[in-house]
Amino acid sequence: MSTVTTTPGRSLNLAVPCDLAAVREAARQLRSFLEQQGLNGTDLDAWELITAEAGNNAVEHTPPEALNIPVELGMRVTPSDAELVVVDHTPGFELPDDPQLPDDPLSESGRGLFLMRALSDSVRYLRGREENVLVIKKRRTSQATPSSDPQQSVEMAVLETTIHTMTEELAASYESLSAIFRFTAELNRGSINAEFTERWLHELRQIVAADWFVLRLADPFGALLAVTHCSRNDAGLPPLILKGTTQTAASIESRAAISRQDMWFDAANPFASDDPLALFGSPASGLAHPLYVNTELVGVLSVGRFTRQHPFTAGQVNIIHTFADFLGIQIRNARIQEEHLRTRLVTRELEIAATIQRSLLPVRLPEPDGFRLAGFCESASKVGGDYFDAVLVPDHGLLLVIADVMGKGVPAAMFAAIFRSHVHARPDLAVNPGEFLTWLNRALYPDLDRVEMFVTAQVVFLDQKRRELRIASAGHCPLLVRHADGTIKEGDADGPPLGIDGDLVFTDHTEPVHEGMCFLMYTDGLIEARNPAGELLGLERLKSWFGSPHLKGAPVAAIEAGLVKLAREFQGSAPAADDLTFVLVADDPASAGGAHVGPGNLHVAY
Amino acid sequence: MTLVSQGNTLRVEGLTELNASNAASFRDQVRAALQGGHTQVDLDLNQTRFVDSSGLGALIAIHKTLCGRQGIVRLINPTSQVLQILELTRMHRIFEIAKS
Repeated sequence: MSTVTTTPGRSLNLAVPCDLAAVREAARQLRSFLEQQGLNGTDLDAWELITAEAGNNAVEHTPPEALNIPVELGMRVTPSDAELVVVDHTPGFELPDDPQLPDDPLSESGRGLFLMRALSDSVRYLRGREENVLVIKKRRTSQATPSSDPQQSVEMAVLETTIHTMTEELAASYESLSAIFRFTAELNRGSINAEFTERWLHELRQIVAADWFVLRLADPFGALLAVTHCSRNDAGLPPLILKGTTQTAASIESRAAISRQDMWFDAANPFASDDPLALFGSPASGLAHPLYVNTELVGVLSVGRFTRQHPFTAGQVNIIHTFADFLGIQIRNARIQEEHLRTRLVTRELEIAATIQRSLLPVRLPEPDGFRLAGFCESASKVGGDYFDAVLVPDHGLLLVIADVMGKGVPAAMFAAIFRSHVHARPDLAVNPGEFLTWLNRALYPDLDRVEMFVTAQVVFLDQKRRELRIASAGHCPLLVRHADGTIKEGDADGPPLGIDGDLVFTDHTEPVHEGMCFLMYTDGLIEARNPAGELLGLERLKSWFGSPHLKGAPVAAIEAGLVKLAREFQGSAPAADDLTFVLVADDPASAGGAHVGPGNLHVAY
Repeated sequence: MTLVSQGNTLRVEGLTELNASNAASFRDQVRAALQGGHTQVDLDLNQTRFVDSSGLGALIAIHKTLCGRQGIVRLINPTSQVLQILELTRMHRIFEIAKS
């Protein structure tokens, strides 16, 4: 039971037992007293809490031997202010000039002094030998005369505060709802774009009375945050690489993305000097909110004010969250749609390229008298660039051409088609492969140069009368010749690819054709096939296999099947990264009897 | 004060004050009522007209308990005077403040 001393209309002094419940009751009594003095609802709420905090401190820190001494609470009211005096019997404490909230936002204590200071105009603490005196002063926000009906006055004050809060919240809710409806209707007419996002963010800035915003979007790997929208056009904020932990990440935006939580900045948590947001200057208050859709990081939205005095309220934070999350979902949806569209386009392009490439290949390979051929062509995802051809030059021999256009998709397939038409345009040059390549290069150079593409090619003329090969190469994989005894000879590497220099002159070299000889032309897809460990099949492995004794006397179709098996077994479960194309020509006296087109000697797999 | 379990949510209603003299008991009662499946505590502050720093400490304690089980604490319909204290002490950065 408190002991009460009252000066009517001016002051109230309570001697309160050293007990938390008694302090709480005393705070209610003081509130009633202040009500009678005409203080308004906001002041009453503040004083009730200040008194409770001050009284609780006094009780909680009183040593056991002083527990029987009451805590004294005195309230004095003047027309302009009110003053609380608390006399405690604790050992006392050092009152900081500017009490702050605890450094750890999850601390379960340490907010009492901050509240007393934040809700009042001045706090002083006078330490004595046996007792200490806390003096808290606060100006009255309205100097109303005491109401004739205190109850009515209290109800009016509470009502006023409630109506004010509700009006503010309703207005904000209405504005945000209306914005969401309006923008959703707009989205139904088309996908989200930069202009939409810009307007959306300006709308948000207005509703929550923010001074600035920065939106960063994450790359598809969630590793980089690049600015897409900023209320300051001249900001030039650099992209952020996401690394480190919540504690070590360099910027507030990175920390928000990594921790998946809002990161706040204000007087207690200012920007580091190298934080990109420091551009907006000091003081500043606001938050960086990460945009996550399920587990995927879409971006980070930072919204701030050029002041520390009026941080965002809970209602405004809710609006920022709603706007940001809505935007995150729309951006994510747009990305998914874009991805689907791109996949469909790529698939269609690959289909077109595959059709072109198929149309370029001979249906069957012609075989000159005394020779057998076997060819193989399989497309990987990089469809469209490989080409090979075999053209019979009557009574003379066979022209073999293999080429790889560097590039993929329709453009590479189109160049392969152009290349083929050139090859067929000058059969008169077939017997001189070097000259043929020189002409091809000169003819194709302007187009290749314009689109910055190039072609590796190999031209071989098999002279059946002289029984020799004439070989010219433009940056292509070396021809491999297998002699009957299993020794392997590598063809000379000649000039650079076609399309590098229009004035190049290519030369050819000659290889005699011995009995039982077999040669292999191929594109780099064969030697650059990779196994699941990422190793290349390589030229040495190919040469070793091609020279192995078990191929001695084997029919060319069996060698072809063996080579396909070698490549596939080497690749194992690894996906083929490149087209696989090769052609084998074997000396086979048993097949003498005139030139013909070998049935089933070309295998094309798609 | 009443504690009602609704699926994965423990709903706390009828709290008129959260102060130094009842905060510890409030915290212990809520923790005791938490069952294995609860991942959300909805604290209805509709009737709560007074919260002091000890009361805020109790809210933080329950928040930490829920974080430990990957859950959340929501503060529902706080009165204007309580909302003001939550904002002043930046509790609205920690708790989701919702309308029922």
